[in-house]
Amino acid sequence: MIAYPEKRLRQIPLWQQLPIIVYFGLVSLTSQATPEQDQSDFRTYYHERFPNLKLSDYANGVYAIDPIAKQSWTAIEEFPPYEAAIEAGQTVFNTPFSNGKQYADCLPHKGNSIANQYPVWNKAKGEVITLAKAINDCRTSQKEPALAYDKAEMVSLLAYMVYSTRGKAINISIPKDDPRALKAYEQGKAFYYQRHGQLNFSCATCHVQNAGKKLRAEILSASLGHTNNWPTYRLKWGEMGSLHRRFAECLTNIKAQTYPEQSLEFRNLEYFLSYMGNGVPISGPSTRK
Amino acid sequence: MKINRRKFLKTSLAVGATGMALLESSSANSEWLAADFEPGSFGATLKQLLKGKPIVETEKIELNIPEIAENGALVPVTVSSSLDDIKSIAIVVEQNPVPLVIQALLMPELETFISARLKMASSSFVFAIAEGEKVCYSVKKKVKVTIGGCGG
Amino acid sequence: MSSIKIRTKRLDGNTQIRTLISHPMEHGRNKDKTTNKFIPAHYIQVLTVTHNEKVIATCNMGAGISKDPYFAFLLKGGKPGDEIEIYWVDNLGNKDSEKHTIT
Repeated sequence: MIAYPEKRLRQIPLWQQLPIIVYFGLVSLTSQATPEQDQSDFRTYYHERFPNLKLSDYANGVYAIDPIAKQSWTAIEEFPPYEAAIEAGQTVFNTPFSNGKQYADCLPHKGNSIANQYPVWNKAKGEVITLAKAINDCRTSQKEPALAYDKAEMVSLLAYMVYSTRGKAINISIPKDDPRALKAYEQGKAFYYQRHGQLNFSCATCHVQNAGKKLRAEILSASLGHTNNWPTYRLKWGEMGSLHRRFAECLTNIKAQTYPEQSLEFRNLEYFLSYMGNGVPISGPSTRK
Repeated sequence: MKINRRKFLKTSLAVGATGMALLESSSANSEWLAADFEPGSFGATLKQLLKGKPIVETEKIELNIPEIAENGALVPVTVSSSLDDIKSIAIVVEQNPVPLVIQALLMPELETFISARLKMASSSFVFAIAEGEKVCYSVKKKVKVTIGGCGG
Repeated sequence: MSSIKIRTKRLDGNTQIRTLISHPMEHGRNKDKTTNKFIPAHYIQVLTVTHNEKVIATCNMGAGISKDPYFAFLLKGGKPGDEIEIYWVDNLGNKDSEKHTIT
C-alpha cells in the first residue's frame, strides 16, 4: 500500500485501516466471494472510510469529499457545458434511420430512461453489452452503420439517454442462469485489482486504498459510483467523453497497456464497477476537471 | 479539442439588424482593440485600463472566485458591487500571457454584476477592476491552479 | 441550431440573465498534437446584451475566456414580455445572435 502524507484527509487511522484492507483484499481475491459479498464489502469499506456519506452522495464523485473543488463544480453545474450535448443527442435520438425506424424501435422501453440498467449480460451473444454497444446493435439491426464510440454523435446520444435516466439508482444484475456472466464479472474484478504498468498501480491502489487522499494536488475519488456520471464534460478535454475514454487515460497515466473503447476488457471492467455501484443514482451527464 | 473548424465556419449565421447596428455604432470607448488582448505584461495592461485614473483598493467590490481551481481551463468568477456609478468591470489575471480577460461595459440598466468563466495559465492573483467616474476600484484574490488551463 | 442559450430568472426584483455559448475560444498558441502545427486563433471578441432593443452591456474579451463561454448579468427590474438579445462576433468574422423573452 502506498502511503501519502496528507494526514488531514484520512478518516480513520492507519492501524485501523489495515485490517479492513487486508480482510477486504483477501475476501475479494478468493474466487469464493460472491458478487453480493463483494458489493457488501465495498460498501462497508467506504462507509467506514467516509462515515458522513450516504450511498446517494457517491453520485457526485470526488465532490462529495472535496468541498473546495465542489464550489467550482457547483458554479459550473448551474449552466453546465454539457447541455449542448444533451440537445444534440436528443436530435440524434429522434432522427429516423434510412428505413424509417427509430432508436425507440430497437431499444428496451423505447430507449427511455434505461441507462441505469446497463451494462447487461447478453446470453445470446455471450458478452457484456454496455449502453453504447446496445446503441450500435440497435443501429446494425436496422442496417445502419455503427457509430464510432469516441466521436461526438455517439457521446451526445449517450448524454441524452443518460440524462433521461438521471436520479434512477444503478441496477445491474449478474444472471445466475449463465455462468459466463459471473465469469465476465470476475474478469472485470480481476482487472480492477491487478497491478498494471510501469507504475505498478491497480485501480484499487488509488480509488480504494487511497480514496480521499491526495495524489500530488488532486484528491482521489472513491470507486463506489464511479460509472454513474458518464458521459462527462472533462475540463481537461474541453469536450464530452465516455467512461472508457477515461479508463484509457488513467491507464496511460500509470504507463500501462490500454484498450480501445468498448473492448472486452473495458466492458467487463465497467460491468464489475457498475455492479459495485448498485443503488447509487445516475448523475450523468456531468462535468469533471 | 475536436471542433470541426470547417463545419463551424461554413455555418456562420446571419446576423439580425440589431447586430449590424451595434457593430457600426460602437463608440471609441467600447471598441475591441487588438492591443488590449495581445500578450503583454500585467503592468502595461493595468496602465491601459486605468487611463490615468487613480486606483483604489476597496472592499466594496466582491470578487467571488475559488481559492483552488481544479483545472485552470475553467475558473468560475463573479464580480458584484453595491457601488452604483460603475461604467465597466474588467477581470485581469496577472500571470496569464494576456492578462486582460474581459472588460464589460455596463449601462445603468444593469446592476454592477458579472459572472464569467476564465482560463488561468497558472496560480495567480486575479483582479477585478471597476471603473468609476473619477477613480478605478480594485479588488484581488490569489487563486491556486493545480492544472494549468491554457490547453494543448 | 443556435450557439447561444439564454435563461432568465427573477431574483429579488431583478432579472438574472445567463447565457451559455458553444465556441472553441482558441487562443492560437496551442499546437495540434498530430500535425504539430499551431491551431489558429478562434475566439469571441465582442458580446453584447440588449434589453428591448437597447444595448445594456458590451463585453470585449480575448481567448482568456473559457471554451464554451458562460456569462451572467443582472438587469434592474425587468418584466415578463421583455426581450433580451445576445449577440457575439469573433476574430474570424463569424457572428451569431439569439433572442429570449422574459416569462
